[in-house]
Amino acid sequence: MPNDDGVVAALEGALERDPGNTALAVHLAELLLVAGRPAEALARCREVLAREPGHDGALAVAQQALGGERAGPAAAEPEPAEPEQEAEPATVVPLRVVDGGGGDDVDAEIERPTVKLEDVGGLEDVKRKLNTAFLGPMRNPGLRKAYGKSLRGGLMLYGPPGCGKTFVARAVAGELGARFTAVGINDVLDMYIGESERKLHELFQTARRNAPCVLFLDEVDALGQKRSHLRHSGIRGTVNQLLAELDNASSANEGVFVLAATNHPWDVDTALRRPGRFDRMLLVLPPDEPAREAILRLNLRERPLAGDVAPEIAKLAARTRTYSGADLAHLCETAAEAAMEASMETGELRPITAKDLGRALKETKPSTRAWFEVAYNYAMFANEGGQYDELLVYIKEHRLS
Amino acid sequence: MSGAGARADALVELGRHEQAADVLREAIAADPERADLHCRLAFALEHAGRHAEALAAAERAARQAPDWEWPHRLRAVALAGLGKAKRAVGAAEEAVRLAPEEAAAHEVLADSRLAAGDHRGARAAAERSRELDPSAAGPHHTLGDVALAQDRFGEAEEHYRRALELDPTNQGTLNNLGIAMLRWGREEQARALFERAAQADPADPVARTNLARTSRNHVNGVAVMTACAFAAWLLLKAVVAGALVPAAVLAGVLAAGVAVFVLRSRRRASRLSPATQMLLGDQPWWERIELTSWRPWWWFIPSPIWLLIAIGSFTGGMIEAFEAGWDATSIGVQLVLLAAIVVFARYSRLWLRRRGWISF
Repeated sequence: MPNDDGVVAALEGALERDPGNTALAVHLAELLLVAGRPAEALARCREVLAREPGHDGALAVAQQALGGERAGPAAAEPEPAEPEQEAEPATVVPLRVVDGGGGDDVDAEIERPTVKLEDVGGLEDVKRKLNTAFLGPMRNPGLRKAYGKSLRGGLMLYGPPGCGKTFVARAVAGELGARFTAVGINDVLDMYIGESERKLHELFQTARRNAPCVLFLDEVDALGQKRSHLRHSGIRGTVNQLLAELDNASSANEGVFVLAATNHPWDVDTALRRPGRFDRMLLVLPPDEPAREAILRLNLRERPLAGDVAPEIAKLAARTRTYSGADLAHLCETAAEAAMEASMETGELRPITAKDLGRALKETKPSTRAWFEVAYNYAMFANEGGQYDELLVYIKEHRLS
Repeated sequence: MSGAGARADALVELGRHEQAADVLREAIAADPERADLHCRLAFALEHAGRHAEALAAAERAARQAPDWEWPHRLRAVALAGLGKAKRAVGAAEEAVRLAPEEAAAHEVLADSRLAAGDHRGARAAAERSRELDPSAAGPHHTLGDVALAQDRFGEAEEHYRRALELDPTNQGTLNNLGIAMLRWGREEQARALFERAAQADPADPVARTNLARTSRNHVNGVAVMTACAFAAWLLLKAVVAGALVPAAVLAGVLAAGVAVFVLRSRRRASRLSPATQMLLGDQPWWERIELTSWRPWWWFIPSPIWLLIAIGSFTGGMIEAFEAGWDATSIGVQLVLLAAIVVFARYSRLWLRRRGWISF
């Protein structure tokens, strides 16, 4: 794991300050074992066993260190309930939650994602922040305890559309070995009064029953719209229900990790941003140049390419600044369409050429520009507590205002 | 209410007008006779700024239910959006005829009449709307607009403030109150109101533009800019006449004037809010040297050039009058010319604005 060394160092520091903390020492031993440092793990276990000869955890880790058997990270918390399914790629298990009170059933698709953060191209900053602010504490209960950090609070991903917020959320579930369920506006927006609240409650209940589970609220600006903007009591009720569920999920239901994504964070009710709810925001930006190159290569991978395309891809990546992943996919699609059209005219398969890509680039404009223009105004006039400082820096650096 | 209708209403409330329109189109395809669905479609399209399509949907609804007030009200709103104010008045009057106790119909009639230039009619309709629904902010806003259009700034302020009591974050009301203050010469208050309006809806460009212009006027100030333009004119005259020493002195005066201008601008800008400072910082150089309050042909000649022309023609004329021995006719002509320049510079924008050719 990318930040394991940092975590180990932090744990060692904590142990120096509190050498009698056996739980921390055992946890450090576990991490050292996972990091492929069994000798050091064994040494830590010996120290614990010298003080408490019958310590079960230390004995277990020592046994694994001696036997070379690799232990699961951080006592496998959260532990996947059905680890044998993890090997299957994104198995979709539709769950049906039957409501006793009548009305439609709530269908929630529960996935077990196999994607990890390392599968996410680029977004290094996002991955780093996810690891330090969210995944690290999740995976390291001992460390969390040592620093008195609670599991309360969710994470809100925001940024322009098509930049991989949903994919990141899925990868977070993969990292945690948790199930994943996504909730969108259409899942709950049935405006018979009370129906939306019931559906929302059922979706949270489904996530709780399937813990560990990442509950992903897509377009959270619609589910949690600022109540001051709303006149319709039905939607206000949905927002209130969401607040109640979040409070419930964060205190009484361990193992339900609520992530949210939005293109319009400024429309999200401020109550949702209070501590214990979505108190951390993470900006998901368009891919950087290496990531763009990787995305272009991925999208062109199974298409017939002329010899002049390979050297062109890096240049294309350099010329597609602020293009989202979706824009890049569209660009490749447009180039493929042009080549296909030419093939149909001549009756011979003509591969995609660098010229096709060049033309496609002229036709495809980055869809993120409009978002940045709007976002800039909100970042200027609604930047309470500096919440959009990072966005402002990006906009200035890329001259998007 | 049907499922599709309720869903569309919710989507409109969430600001997802296109999605709402899609839901409604689907429902209309299944049940094309439903006037309420056509109305909701018109409403969603109007909010999305697609006035022509909104009008078509409202007209379909009016054909389905000619005795229902809502389709006619929606027609009026769409027609006003398309700039067809007289037809909008006709549609709104029909809505009022069908539902004389409907406050919203009177409010739309007031707005349509105002757009058509009928201030008295607009006031009467807005007052009736206010009587029917005293808790609505809209009629107060419209009454403010009527007073503003007639340059009755105190009255406009009163109406807008009442509207803001009922709807404190209405971006349009905050902005219009700012305009009233600006025209009344209360620039400080106007700037504060434009800033509040921009905060209320940062996506709306109107208040942002107004805030940028008033703040730029404040930062630049007219006195130093006029002095610089005057020095530049004299410098030009001295250079043309080959008077090198006076030219050098004037160049020094001009440089000092520019330095004072820059330093004072920076000091004034530093006292503005961070958002306004950013707004000004984003302006291109030609907007940074602008002085909107002295820009009659604002789409054509930037204000420094305009000031230069005004000062140059006046001083040139006065010099000629001096050379002619202070001939009374020449002096009179020059004074008339100066008055014409000032009147044109200060009031031609007002004249253009009243005709709806410009908005600021």
